[in-house]
Amino acid sequence: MPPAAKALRKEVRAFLNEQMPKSVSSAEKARSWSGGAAAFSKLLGQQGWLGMTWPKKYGGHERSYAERYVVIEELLVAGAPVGLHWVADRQSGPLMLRFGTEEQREFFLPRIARGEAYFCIGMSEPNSGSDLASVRTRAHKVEGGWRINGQKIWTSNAHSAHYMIALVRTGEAETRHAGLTQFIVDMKSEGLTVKPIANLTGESHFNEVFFDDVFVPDNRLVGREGDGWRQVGAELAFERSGPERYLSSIRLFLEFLRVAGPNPTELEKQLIGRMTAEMWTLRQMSMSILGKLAAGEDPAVDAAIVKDIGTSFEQELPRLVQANAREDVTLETGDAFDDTLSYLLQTSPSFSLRGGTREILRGIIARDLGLR
Amino acid sequence: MSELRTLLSETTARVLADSRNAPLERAWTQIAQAGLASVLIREDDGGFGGTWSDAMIVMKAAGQHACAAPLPENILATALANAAGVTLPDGMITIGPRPDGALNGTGFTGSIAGVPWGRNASHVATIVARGGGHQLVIAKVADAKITPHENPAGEPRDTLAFDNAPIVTAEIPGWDSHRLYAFGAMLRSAQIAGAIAGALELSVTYTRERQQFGRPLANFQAIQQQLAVLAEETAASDMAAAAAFRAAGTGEGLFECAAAKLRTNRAARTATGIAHQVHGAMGFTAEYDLHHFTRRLWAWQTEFGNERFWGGKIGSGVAARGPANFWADLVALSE
Ligand SMILES: Cc1cc2nc3c(=O)[nH]c(=O)nc-3n(C[C@H](O)[C@H](O)[C@H](O)COP(=O)(O)OP(=O)(O)OC[C@H]3O[C@@H](n4cnc5c(N)ncnc54)[C@H](O)[C@@H]3O)c2cc1C
Repeated sequence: MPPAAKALRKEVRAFLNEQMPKSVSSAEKARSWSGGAAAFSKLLGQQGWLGMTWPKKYGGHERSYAERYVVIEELLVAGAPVGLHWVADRQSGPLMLRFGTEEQREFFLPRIARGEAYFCIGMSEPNSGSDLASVRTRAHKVEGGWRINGQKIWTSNAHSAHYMIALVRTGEAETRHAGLTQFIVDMKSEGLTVKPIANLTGESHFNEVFFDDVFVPDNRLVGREGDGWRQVGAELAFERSGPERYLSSIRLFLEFLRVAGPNPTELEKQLIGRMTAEMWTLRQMSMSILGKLAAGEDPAVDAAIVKDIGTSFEQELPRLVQANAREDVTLETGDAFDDTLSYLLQTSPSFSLRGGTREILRGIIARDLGLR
Repeated sequence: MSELRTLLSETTARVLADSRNAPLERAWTQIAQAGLASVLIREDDGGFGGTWSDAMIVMKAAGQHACAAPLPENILATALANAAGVTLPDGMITIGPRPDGALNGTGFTGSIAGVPWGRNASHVATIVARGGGHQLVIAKVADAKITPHENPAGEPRDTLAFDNAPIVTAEIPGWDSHRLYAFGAMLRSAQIAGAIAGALELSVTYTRERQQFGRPLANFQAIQQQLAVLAEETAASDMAAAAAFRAAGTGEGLFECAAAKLRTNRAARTATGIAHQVHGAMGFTAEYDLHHFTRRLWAWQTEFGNERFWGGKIGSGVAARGPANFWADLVALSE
């Protein structure tokens, strides 16, 4: 990490110390990038901590990838409510920077960097999950733009986002990978309906999104018509390699440390040691991808490796903690440990689904090995 | 990679491949002549003048080529000699992991167990406490009573007993026997990363060639998914070991040595299981090469500390610092 990153880390910690209300519970913090607060997103924008690596002329701050990494890992560890702007800052902005038109960059990037424009990811459909190339939502050409018909599903934050980057079919021949195009869809468009889906805990973070003849003007097509598949691939390296792919359960680790105290049992020591070594390794792995992203490479395989090992770890953590918690621990008292554990036990299955399933990631790695 | 590093890595791979089936004495001559053991020796003294990260290249390659010689140990010995400001004698120098004995002015009395290639080496280097400080001790193997032992991979791990043996000794600031043991763990982490890479390579080649049900095993998704995990563990062990070697070059490195050994041990456990499973009975034979990697991986998991040992060390350290310091401590390691 460069020296500038160290100074920045101090700044971020001081900021969080001031801005994170002391009353936020551990389970609430565990939500981090699944939760969100508009005022907090704006504050981050004012700090210059959104769009950090982007050119200044688009409202960015021309800072290094390492500096951005410092900010996001500190936010995640603190359990800050960063969910609203997360996708925009992580992947929609970089997507437009790379493939978007000048007008799109000038319009959207400054808004994202101010923490005012949120994006959601419109990839999955009822019949297209892992087999993303089979999406059926379709855009057809009309005067001055396109009309979209179809349905997206599992769209996180569709209810709070201002825009969606939607992957839809534009080609006539239904060849699998050709004929897919990405559009920026205004969520207030006429004909677009968002319906929340409650997850198994009863909370609603994801949604169904229906498109009934939704008009999208020509200037909201991202990159090249028919190039959507390749563009999505580039986006996924950003989506898969970040610290949020191993830190989702860190609140529970910290709770485990708190309850174990300074003189833990032998068993607790073992677990703490093992989990610490894992996080240390994952952090090295995740940071090692920064250089490649900064150089404009597409480290898809490295990112798949980080995500699979990282999510396996953050998923295993609640199970390990439950199996080895002290005898008097129940999941009923509502105390910080219990609450965090029960929240993560229930939500951790999603870690190896969202952003590409474990099996799909392993398929990508196997292809790289020359096995398929 | 810098040009010099590429050269080092290519030379190492070539020499270790060439010498792989040679008798130890001849192999060692080739290794020594190529300067592989001198990677940490200053250029002025005829070495490569490298860093610990350069040393990792050689040590990982030693694992990847199933090198049957104390090459990593000899490199560590040169680092100890650097730290103590002494020049090593010529010959094959190994390391004494945990000496049990004392210095009495002129000589060393005591025994050292688990000495890699003790019987073949010319000297053994270890660290013994004396007064308030720590001494680097270099003893001639010829002065020892040798009890031969081997690890499961057939690598010599001998017990050397000394009775007032004449020694070279010098104060070694910043080191003690615990640090020596931790660095031994770091050495093994690089070798483990190399051996896992070797096992992956064999597994990929084998499953692409071997046909069942009318197609290569590699075509079956169950096999692909397992090998993907093996590739992940290869990446994780490489990264963990590399981070430890970086830390060894810049700071104390004790946490990193521990974490790297802990992580690579876990990787070794997963990797040996997968590599054998995809090879079927062929991987279980003496004739086929896989066991050169997997038997070493089993042996090395125990050497220089297993997961319980290092897990306990890291765990008590982290617990003592408490949840409020955890993250700050973790990131401070790479700043
Ligand atoms: C919390 C959460 C948030 C999400 N947010 C978004 C979002 O914002 N935007 C968005 O577009 N999507 C989102 N998703 C959807 C996510 O991307 C999909 O769940 C994922 O791609 C898998 O698709 P699926 O659920 O249809 O499962 P399926 O594709 O039906 O798969 C079910 C199981 O079968 C396995 N499988 C499928 N195909 C194969 C194969 N060829 N070989 C072996 N195994 C296979 C899968 O790995 C999985 O284990 C979210 C999901 C979750 C859980």
